Amino acid sequence: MKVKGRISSVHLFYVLVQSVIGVGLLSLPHQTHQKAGSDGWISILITGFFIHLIVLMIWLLCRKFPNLTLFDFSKVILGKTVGTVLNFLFIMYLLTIICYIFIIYTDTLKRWILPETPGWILLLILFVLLIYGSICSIRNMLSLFSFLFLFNLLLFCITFFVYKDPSLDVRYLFPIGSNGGWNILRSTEDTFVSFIGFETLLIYFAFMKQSKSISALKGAFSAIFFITTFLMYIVMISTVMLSPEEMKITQEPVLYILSAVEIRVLSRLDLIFLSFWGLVVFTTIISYSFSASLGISNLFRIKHKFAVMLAGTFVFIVSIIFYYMEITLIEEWLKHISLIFAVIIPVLLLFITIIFKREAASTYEEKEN
Amino acid sequence: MRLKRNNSKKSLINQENLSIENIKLQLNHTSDLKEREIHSDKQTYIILYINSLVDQEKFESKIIKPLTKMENNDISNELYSQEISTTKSNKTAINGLLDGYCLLMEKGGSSEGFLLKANASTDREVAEPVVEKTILGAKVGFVESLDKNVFLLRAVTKSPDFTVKNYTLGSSTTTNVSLIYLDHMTDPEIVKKVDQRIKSITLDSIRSVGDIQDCIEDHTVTPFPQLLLTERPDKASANLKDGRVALILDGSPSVIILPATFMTFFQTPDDYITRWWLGSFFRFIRLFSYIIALILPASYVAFVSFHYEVIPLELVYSLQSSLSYVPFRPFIELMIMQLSFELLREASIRLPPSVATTFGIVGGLVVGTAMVEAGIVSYGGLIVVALTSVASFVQPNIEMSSSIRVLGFPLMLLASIFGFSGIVIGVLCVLIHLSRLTSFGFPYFSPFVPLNIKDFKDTILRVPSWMMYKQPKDSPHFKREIQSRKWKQDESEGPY
Repeated sequence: MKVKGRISSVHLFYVLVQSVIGVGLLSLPHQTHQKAGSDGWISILITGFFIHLIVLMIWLLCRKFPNLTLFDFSKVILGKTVGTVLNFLFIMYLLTIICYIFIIYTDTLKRWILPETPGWILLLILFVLLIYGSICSIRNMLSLFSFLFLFNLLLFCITFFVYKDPSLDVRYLFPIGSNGGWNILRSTEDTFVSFIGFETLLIYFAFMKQSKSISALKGAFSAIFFITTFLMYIVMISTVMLSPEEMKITQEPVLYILSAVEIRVLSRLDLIFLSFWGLVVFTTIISYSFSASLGISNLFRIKHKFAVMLAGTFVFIVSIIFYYMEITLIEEWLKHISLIFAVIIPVLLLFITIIFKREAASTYEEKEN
Repeated sequence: MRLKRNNSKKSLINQENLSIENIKLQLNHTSDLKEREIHSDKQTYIILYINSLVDQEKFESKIIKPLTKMENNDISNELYSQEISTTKSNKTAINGLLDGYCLLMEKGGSSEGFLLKANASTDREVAEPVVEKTILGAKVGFVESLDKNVFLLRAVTKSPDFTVKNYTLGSSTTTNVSLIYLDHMTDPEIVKKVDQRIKSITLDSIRSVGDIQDCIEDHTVTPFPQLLLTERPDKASANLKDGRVALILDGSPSVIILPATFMTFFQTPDDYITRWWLGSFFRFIRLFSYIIALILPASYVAFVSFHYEVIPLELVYSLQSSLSYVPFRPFIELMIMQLSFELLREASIRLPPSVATTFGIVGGLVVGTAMVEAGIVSYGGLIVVALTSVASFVQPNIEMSSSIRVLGFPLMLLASIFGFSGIVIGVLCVLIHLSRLTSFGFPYFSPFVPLNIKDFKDTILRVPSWMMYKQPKDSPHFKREIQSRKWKQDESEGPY
């Protein structure tokens, strides 16, 4: 199934930022601190650089198959049977990520704002939003994301209030690199989880107007650059605000430092931040479920609308089971499966394409004007 | 019985030949259908007209008098009527009669008839618009006559591009509609779309602009208006110059402007009359008040019932002191208050002005204060509801401010269940909805979704006119010049 090229590199920037920045934002400083200590921001930088390389590879892979998504060109590369199996696994992977986001969001909201609200109601609301948000054309989704990008900047601006706090101490950052290079490198496997979302490029590159041109890559690169800077800023500001001992015990350092700040009109900035963070999470959910439903509609040959409903129902049921059984399986394995699906599989596909000279069938090739 | 008669009528309509008897039958021998015989020098004419639709004076002086004195047989040259056309078909003759034309035929002559215009006009004088007031703008409003409205619009839009297309809508009772646009400045795609959609209207009769609106708007299940109604010729003209299309319905003082985007409803003619930074400020205030009116009641519910720790401590004490006497939950409290304000608003619309002042005092002040003292609502709730309704009155467009009322209640409900996150969820739903709306194929929430910072300059902002060298995206054909302010360079003095 060939898709129409519709989006520009600016759109790609928005969609990538919205897909990547999401649920991991709040706990990221805590996670980096576990291994890299005060040098967490360096490991983010390294991961960011690494992600640039992977995005480059994904682009190299996708430009061989213009206007084809992963769900189509996997069959071209691996043959029909293996390709279908891979598609199925990839869809399952995307749905798992949505389940993970559902659970983390519900958990965080319950702990910070709504302790009495039953978890299934929050999951239901997320389910409804997923269905409502994903039944649309890619154009609609992208234009929505471009507007919601402003809220990302708003989150960024809220953190400026932190500088009022007297407990800010730049010395927590120093000496730079004191935790040792090996620890910093090891920490990248934790920070990597915050970057997942870029693998949706395997799908979105197909919708680019000129996926072959370097401008497509530019959009993706600038998005990754923005994300790296944003996450690095969040980690740095948390490190500066909280002492290493505090960092060890706080699960959401970002909210913690914001709750300490009091401005005249609003006493609890963290609650405002948390609510707007919801918007960022929803965009991630919508982006993932849109991609997954594209795959589902491709796999089962059903309409996009029904695919979204199928995906939503699956995610809803699975996340309710995992939430109430308190299964932490996804969280433990997320690192590994995301590494497999976001890095290893695209790279493998690229190598197979290069070695066996796989290319889109000539009928697929778009006629140049 | 009825069916039978219809059938006999139908067979007569099918007779193409024009005959007086036929027309009389078609019009059911209505009493105000008059027939007169006039003898000129050489010929005898029969003239047929509907008495109530014809201006007696025009009829006498411009048709009867010249007809009796006529020397040649040349009707089209000797008569002074505004419009003369010839017809051979019954249908056009009847439509003409219904529009206030007279039908002139030679007795015993050919089957050709002349339609002479002598219609009586019901126009009232052009007056200042009632709903859309301005401080400095023109004091002219549209009236109920189609011709006069087109005249009013043309008078402020002098351009050879000004194009009018006429349509007759309705199958049993007919209404005339004019589509107006500036040829080179309007996207032909939009004109084509409007043309198609109007032609597809098959309603029995058109009651008001609302009927047309229902038929041609893109999305029906939405609280947001997609067509702008205005009663100001200057506003309509400005929109024409921006590349939009106007639809004028006979008998309606409201003119439809399309395609309208979300931000169109926040613009007023005053913005362009005051200096640009003031205009921008007012626009910003309007947008801000829209957001306030939408979010404030919901925020109050969220703050009071979930996050009282967000509001400063002193405020919590003072809110608490009046809240503690209220037996209802904040959501119920606000619902009671909002509903009573809705009642007040609805009641005050149709009151004569002399009663309205008393009503305002009794309704607003007495009931409001008494409600607080009786412990039905708190001071906080009263303030929130009052501020909300003031903010909704800031909107220049009534339909847009009604959308706040529709969206406000669900938001309040969500806020009472999920607190501030509920508001965010609700707002996200509204944004998703807005991002999918289109107005004649053009994105409705346009400069925001899709985000286009360049188009902010005539939507949120109102930059000086010499800076708007490019029009918004819905009219790509038109450019304004930055040269208008070139004198500044010539006049400026150097440092020496």
